Amino acid sequence: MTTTNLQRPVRAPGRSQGIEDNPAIPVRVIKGVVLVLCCVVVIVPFIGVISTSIASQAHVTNSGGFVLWPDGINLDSYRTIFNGGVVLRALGVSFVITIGGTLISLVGSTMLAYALSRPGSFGQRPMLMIVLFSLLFSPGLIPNYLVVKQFGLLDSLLALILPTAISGFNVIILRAFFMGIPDSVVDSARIDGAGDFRIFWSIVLPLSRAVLAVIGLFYAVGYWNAFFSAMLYISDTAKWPLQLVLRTYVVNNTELSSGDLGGAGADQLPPQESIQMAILVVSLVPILIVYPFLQRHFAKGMLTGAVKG
Amino acid sequence: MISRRTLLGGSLAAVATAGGLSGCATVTRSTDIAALNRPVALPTYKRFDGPKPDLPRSHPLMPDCFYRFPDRPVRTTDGSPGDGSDISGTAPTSNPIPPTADRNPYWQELNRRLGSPLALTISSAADYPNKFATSVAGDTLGDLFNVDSAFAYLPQFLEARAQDLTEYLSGDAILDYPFLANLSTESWRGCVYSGGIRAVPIQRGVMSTDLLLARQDILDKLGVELGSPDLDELVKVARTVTDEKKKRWAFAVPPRWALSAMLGLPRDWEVRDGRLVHSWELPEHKEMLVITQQMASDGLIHPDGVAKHNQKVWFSQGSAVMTQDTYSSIQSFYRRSVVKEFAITIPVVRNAAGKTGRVLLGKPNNSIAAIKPSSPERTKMLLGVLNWMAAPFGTEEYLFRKFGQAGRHYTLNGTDPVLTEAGQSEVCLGEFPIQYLADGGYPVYFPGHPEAVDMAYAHLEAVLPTAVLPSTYGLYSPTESTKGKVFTSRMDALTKDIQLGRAKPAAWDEAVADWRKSGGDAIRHEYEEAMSAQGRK
Repeated sequence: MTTTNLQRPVRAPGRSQGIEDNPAIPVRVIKGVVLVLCCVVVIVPFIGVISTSIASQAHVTNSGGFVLWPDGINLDSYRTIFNGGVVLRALGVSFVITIGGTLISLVGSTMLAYALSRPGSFGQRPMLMIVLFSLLFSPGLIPNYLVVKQFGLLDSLLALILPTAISGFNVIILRAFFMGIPDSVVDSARIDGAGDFRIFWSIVLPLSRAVLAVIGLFYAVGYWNAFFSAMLYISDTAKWPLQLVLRTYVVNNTELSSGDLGGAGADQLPPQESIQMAILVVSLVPILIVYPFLQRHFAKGMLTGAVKG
Repeated sequence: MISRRTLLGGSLAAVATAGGLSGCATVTRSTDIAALNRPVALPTYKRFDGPKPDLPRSHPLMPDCFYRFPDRPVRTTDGSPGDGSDISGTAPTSNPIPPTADRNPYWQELNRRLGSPLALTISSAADYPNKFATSVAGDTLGDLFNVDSAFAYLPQFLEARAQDLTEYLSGDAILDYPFLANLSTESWRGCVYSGGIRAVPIQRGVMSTDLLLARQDILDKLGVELGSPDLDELVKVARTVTDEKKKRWAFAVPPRWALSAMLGLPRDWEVRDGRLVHSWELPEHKEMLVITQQMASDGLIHPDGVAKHNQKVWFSQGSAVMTQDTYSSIQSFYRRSVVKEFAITIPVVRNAAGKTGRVLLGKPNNSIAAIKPSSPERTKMLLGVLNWMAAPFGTEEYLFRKFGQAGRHYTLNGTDPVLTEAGQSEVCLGEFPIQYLADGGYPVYFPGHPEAVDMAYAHLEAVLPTAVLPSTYGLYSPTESTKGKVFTSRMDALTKDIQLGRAKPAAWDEAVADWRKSGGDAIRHEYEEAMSAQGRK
């Protein structure tokens, strides 16, 4: 039979009331108000973006271009952008880059990190130094461009993946996680006749699902949000990812023509602001959908990787 | 598959950055102001004998004004300017990015008419400086490229990376390219660096002048007469039309240029008493800041109007009754309008003495475009292509360039071309990016809105006699080139702080003193030296 100690822990003498203690009601109220305010500050712009994207022409006009709460639901903007044209094409490109890039990055990073986590691997020290060096010094815009050009990657989607495929920061986190896997587990596998790849694939990776989920999300968000490299390396507008379209038409406020939107009749085009906000929503949704599924791995994946070195 | 040689080359590419710019070793020193500003015989101006404007040219700076597109435009060129070889280029755009050539029948027809396939790298105007810088380093600008005017050490860059066009364009030599010869002498001044013609102008003339535009339809609805206001009258009208509950404000942005005209301020530099002075140094500039601060605190300016510029949307939608934009923007406002009765007026503002305020004309050019150093034959061919792209309003070439092919890209409303859906996309709302490689002069022509032509013409007639051109246009100051952007953004940030009440107007004096010490006086000195070198003083 188990017993539960219901006694409150004794606070160390001289120690101030910490967040683990039960604070007084006024403090709780203040904390609550502050947290609610923080939430409002974060949520209101989202509501505004969604509201504007589904508001009617008249409401957008009367509200000065930004609707906080719509008077009805009008999905014309979404119908327009999913009618074909630049947004739908860019969405496809973004999915290809994000999925392909994340796979390449995870494969490369995990293999590198595993090699760096095993003492005695060939070239371990110099390779680790190179990874650490990349954390401190970045190559800069123009050298990066020259390298991409020299590899013949200009105007290729690979230019959006390969230069950022391995992140030194993520490799260090992965390495720290892999170092936490007991040597005895690896040694047992080796005694059973497993080679390095077998150990990596069948032992290490299954034990590292949490950190893989977190690092995968980091990479995916990075690829999904990247617009600058596309702006530099991609001349063919058919290969533009969604974020560059977003930047061109929302941030730089370039006018969208009906042809850009898959041939919606010019007279039936929803207001420009609604279309811009609909593009914004479309660019947010995939990451918002993926995030909750990976959230449970976050604490474990990040902390394990972060506190060991 | 990447070969070993490619891999090695790629790895060494970063190291080669300096090597790529080695051509700069022979260019003019940045301290040699006289050499950088050495004049050259400008191209002879020869007006193209095209369709007669609908309104008389009452002033040398008056653009051609047309109510409607001339009937039966005539083809004025024979054959194709290209020689069949590939032509590449880099250009910005502020309009929709066009579909690529393989999916764009307009582009395919353009290539056919040019006689050479044209491959363009297009970036949005806001991103163009970054694209330009990396393309310079990677040597991927192509045969024809729009020049980022803020690029540091521009004369040296053009000396190293652009064809010297002097022998092809100086004096009467330009007459071989009649559409380029149709561009104003003033616009060619902006193409001269280090004693050579290094580019061709993307001329906008007075059409790029910043003005106060007002929504006449809203004023009429409210029964407010704007007329030709002085400062007090403008503020009075602003108070009347502002209604925060109805989310309507008088100004989309602080009306800087209208106030400058009222207060007699220059755009930036101006010769006063034999010496260059900058607008920032003048007491009237501080007065303008105080006025705009008061306007902002009285709620006459759109709440986001100081911090964020989205004035086109606010003005089109009627959240702002007045905004600041150019003559050439009028057509885009009509296109964006959401009400049928949409109408614009341009008030002629008056100064304290009751006379017409001195309007500060925009720079003669939107930008300039250069040619990659090439053999004489290829240079002539590329100039021929640019000449074709500069075909003036009223010609068949212009009609194709701006509106594409009849039926697919435009239909006719009377004689006015109206873009179809395909035209809007494929011809980029009539502004395909080749207009940033070469373009004819901008006419006052707002298809479907002859009343707007009358309104712009009346305004031009009223202001041109006292209007002034930017006094330092066509001069080069190395300090301005390298530090100017930083100074401008610093002063702009302080201007916003003052307008938003976050800084006191007194902070302006300190900032101006700091600017003078850290580069302002050097810029003044360099411009004065440049003026001497060009014999402008």
